[in-house]
Amino acid sequence: MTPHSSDRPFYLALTLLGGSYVLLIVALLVGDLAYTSPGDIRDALNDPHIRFAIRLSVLSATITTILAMWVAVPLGYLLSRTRFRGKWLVDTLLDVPIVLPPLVIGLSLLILFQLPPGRAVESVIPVTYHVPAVILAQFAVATAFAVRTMRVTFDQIDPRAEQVALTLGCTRSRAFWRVTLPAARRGMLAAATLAWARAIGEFGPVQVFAGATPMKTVVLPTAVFFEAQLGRLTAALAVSLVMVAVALAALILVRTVGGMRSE
Amino acid sequence: MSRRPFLAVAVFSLVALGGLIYLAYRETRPRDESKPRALVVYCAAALKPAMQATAEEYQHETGTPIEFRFGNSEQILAQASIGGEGDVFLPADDSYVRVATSSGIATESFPLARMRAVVLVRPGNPRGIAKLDDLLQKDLRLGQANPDAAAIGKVTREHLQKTGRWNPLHANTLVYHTTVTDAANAVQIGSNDAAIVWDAVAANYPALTVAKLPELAGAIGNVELAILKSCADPEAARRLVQFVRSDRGQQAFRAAGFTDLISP
Repeated sequence: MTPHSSDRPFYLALTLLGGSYVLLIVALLVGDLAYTSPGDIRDALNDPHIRFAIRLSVLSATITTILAMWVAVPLGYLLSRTRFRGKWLVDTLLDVPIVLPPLVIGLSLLILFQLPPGRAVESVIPVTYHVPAVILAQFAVATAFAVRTMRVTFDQIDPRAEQVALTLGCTRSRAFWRVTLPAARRGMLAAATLAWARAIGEFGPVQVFAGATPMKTVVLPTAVFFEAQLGRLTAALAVSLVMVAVALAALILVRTVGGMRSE
Repeated sequence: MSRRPFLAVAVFSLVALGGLIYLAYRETRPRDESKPRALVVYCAAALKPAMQATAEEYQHETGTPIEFRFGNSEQILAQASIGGEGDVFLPADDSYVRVATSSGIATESFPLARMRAVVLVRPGNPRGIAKLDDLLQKDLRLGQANPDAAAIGKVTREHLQKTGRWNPLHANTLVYHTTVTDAANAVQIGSNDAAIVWDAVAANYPALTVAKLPELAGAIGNVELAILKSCADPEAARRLVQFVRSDRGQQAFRAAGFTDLISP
């Protein structure tokens, strides 16, 4: 659609306001690129510890995302379409992982797994300081974002289509699978993308709950932290740029496969 | 609509989940149970290169595997306190060992090295920092580590309070950082002109210049190793500690910038 000439100031104002943020992101990346060198990036990619961190980050974030979606879709649907006692409390609780400082989430998980129920789980499958701790720490935070997105998605879908399906003889479950979920496709993709991005960048809870054992629980943000702790800022930025590249490649792939490419 | 694409996606996601969990498991497969038990060492990230090099040598020589948990000192202290496992604790300075000992999670400690407070400045010392008064220049961007969070800040404050020099320095400090590394990194990036850091930390910044101020000469911090109460085999832990404090261990710490190592 070609904008009418009188609309130009309007679009110009929108572009200036929105563009300032896009510009900030580009400027941050350019700044990082200027501070580091292709050699640093090559070194980072050749480092077996960094390669391990890339694999673990991608694997754990993907597992986290699938788990988060299995929770976020039903919970988002329940919050959007049903009324139940204590709903306001559930709604408020869902914000807790978003507002809590990352260190506190990590410590809370650590404490939880020292209590009898946590110890019972540990006796079956080791969690604390192992890979499941990486996933659980990411899950604890990323799911909250996915649930919020799914709830808004279901809120915006007109319930009438679902009701029509019910009057035509569909069960609630069939209407959910065949009418509501297809309508929520874009929202699901957005929630999954947000959860994945959140999980791959998660640092504080992962470091506290899973530790930072090389070739075992070190994810990309932890690898960046190590480099910065030793004053190797160019290496830290090189690893960060590798992380940005991995994340962008994955997100573009998902959006392409999901048919969400914006025109 | 007869097809059920979303049911298929749901089933596929579960299959994918299983596959991914297997891949993650394969990536970090547990080690061979017939090998000796690993010694778990909580180690400050700043001491990673020295400690990893020493551990590799020790592992090669004795066959005892060592598993590191790196982090900043507050985090590894919290992990050692709450996690209820681990053998050796090596934070960036001894204030954390004092906390660990007084709270009963560490049973014995061993001095390893001494660190001195120095001033890290931009390359070539363009502001001519040579004495404490030089840090009081009006437009100097001075960073320090927070005295309530990091040992270097605490030691500097206590030392300068004795001579009545703290208040003017505090008044001219632009920013307090959470850790000594953050303070040093700010000088490297150029957002600060100077930062008070440990000499061993300054060694990680070869491109910057180090100024040794006479007024800070007595501001000294210690690095100590501690054996944790949760240690199942204190003898094995002591053997590792002895190795770290031996000439060979000291060599690795010297290479990492520690100049004043304490011999057993």
